[in-house]
Amino acid sequence: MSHLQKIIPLLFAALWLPAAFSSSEEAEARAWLTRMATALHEQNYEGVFTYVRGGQFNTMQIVHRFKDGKEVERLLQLNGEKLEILRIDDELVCYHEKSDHVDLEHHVPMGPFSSAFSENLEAYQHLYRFSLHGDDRIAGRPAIKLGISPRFNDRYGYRLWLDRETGLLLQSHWLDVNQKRVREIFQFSTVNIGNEINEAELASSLSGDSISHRLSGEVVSLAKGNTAKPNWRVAWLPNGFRSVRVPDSDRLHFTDGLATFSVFIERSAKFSLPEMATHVGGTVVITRHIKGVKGQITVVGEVPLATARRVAESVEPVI
Amino acid sequence: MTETARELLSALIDGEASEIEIHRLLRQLGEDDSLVEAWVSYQETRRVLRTPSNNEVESVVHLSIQQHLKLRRRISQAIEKDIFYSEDSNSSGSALPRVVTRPVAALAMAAAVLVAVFIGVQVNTPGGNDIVVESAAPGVQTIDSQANPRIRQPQLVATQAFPTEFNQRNEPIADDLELRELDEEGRRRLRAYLNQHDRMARMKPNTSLVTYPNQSGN
Repeated sequence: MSHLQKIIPLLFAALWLPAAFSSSEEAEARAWLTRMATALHEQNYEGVFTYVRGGQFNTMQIVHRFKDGKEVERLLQLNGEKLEILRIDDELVCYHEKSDHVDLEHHVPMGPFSSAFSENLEAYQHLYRFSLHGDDRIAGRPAIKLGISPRFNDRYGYRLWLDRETGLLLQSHWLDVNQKRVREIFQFSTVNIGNEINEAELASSLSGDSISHRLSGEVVSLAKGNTAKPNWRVAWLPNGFRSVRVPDSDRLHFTDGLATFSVFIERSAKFSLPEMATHVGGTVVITRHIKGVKGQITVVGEVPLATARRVAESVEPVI
Repeated sequence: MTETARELLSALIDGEASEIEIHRLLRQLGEDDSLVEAWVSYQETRRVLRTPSNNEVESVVHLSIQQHLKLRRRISQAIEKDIFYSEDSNSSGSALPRVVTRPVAALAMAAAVLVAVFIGVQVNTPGGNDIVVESAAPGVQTIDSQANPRIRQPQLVATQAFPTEFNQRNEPIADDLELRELDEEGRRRLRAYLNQHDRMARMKPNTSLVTYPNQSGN
């Protein structure tokens, strides 16, 4: 056998093996993500987590129960104003301690719960790469570390730490385009998984003397047949983003499954913001005026500034 | 030129400006001649400080501040004239002609200013090549042709001129000048946008929600 005949299979193996390994690693990472989505829905867990984003720092207590196909979750803000969020499946109700200065227009410090991480992320492999990054230990529990990296530079990525035993999300970092700067941190400091959770643990501690409001708006799903003709359109979208809902004609929302951004159209010049491009609490905000039309476009979202700017530039009235 | 703008320029020159700051500076450069003057002046100071005394600086041709301003005006005029109509294709594949609006043009102009400025930087660098110097004055034509018809090109050129890594700072609302300058109504509106976005992002993509009363006292 000539040298060449010996070398060719070796070369082939050298080229094929890393690809095969990478593919199997990605498949394993996807399997972990599926476990995570299931665990977030179907596990019983309770603990305390911190959620840091921009200038916001929240410490929350969470109790989550899955029983008879129904999810009930209670989140209690432990620092500052006493605020509690009760979730029954997809319905969110926020309770505030009764006072003269209750602010109902607040952000929702829920961490990654009830958002994209509880969806099946496997469906987004054409937009993100999934990878494994070894073992770690979070909140006293063995964890496996996963990476979610965008295939394009027009969105952000994640590092996730999942409980080795159950797949529950124990920690997450939301990373910038270069995967070097952490924009958001979620982390359990204590957590118990799989224990029985009784009704008393889920009852609101504020319900006796509180103000409550539902964290939902006038939302109509596109899938439910909203036929109202939009007045505005976004002519350019990053790859994989789709319109999720059209609550009214002057508000548009988009997601690729993980990242989201919203486009607001203000028609009255009186209520316009000045031209700006900035970050508020890790969320990008960019405004622009439309030539020949009164009013303003504002793009708000968890995407890089360049992406938001291009989206803003592409918004145009539907003639 | 404000003190903030001066600090911003300094941060940019030191490679410490964030993405947001660069965007802000780009916009201001398009509107403020004194900023361009300051930029050139900073670069000149930097050049002098970095140039060894025995270097052959005589062979390097410099653009004066006036030349920079003139160059910028010509680029701006060229862009203003030529990019008002551009064609852009979206990800779904449809190509739609659309009017490029003034903020975009302003940004492109600002980017063009930066192209000019960076040419100046290149010109002023010891060992810079003379061909660039020669093309700088008539170089308007070159940049003009790059800018037309797609507005992204000058932006790309400008972006490439910046360092690839920035010392990005996380800016809480109180430290951001643009946000601090908002009036009460502006703050209220911005907060409303952020909250509406936040709440939408929390919902599952396929959930259909109904309208509830905004508040109920227990």
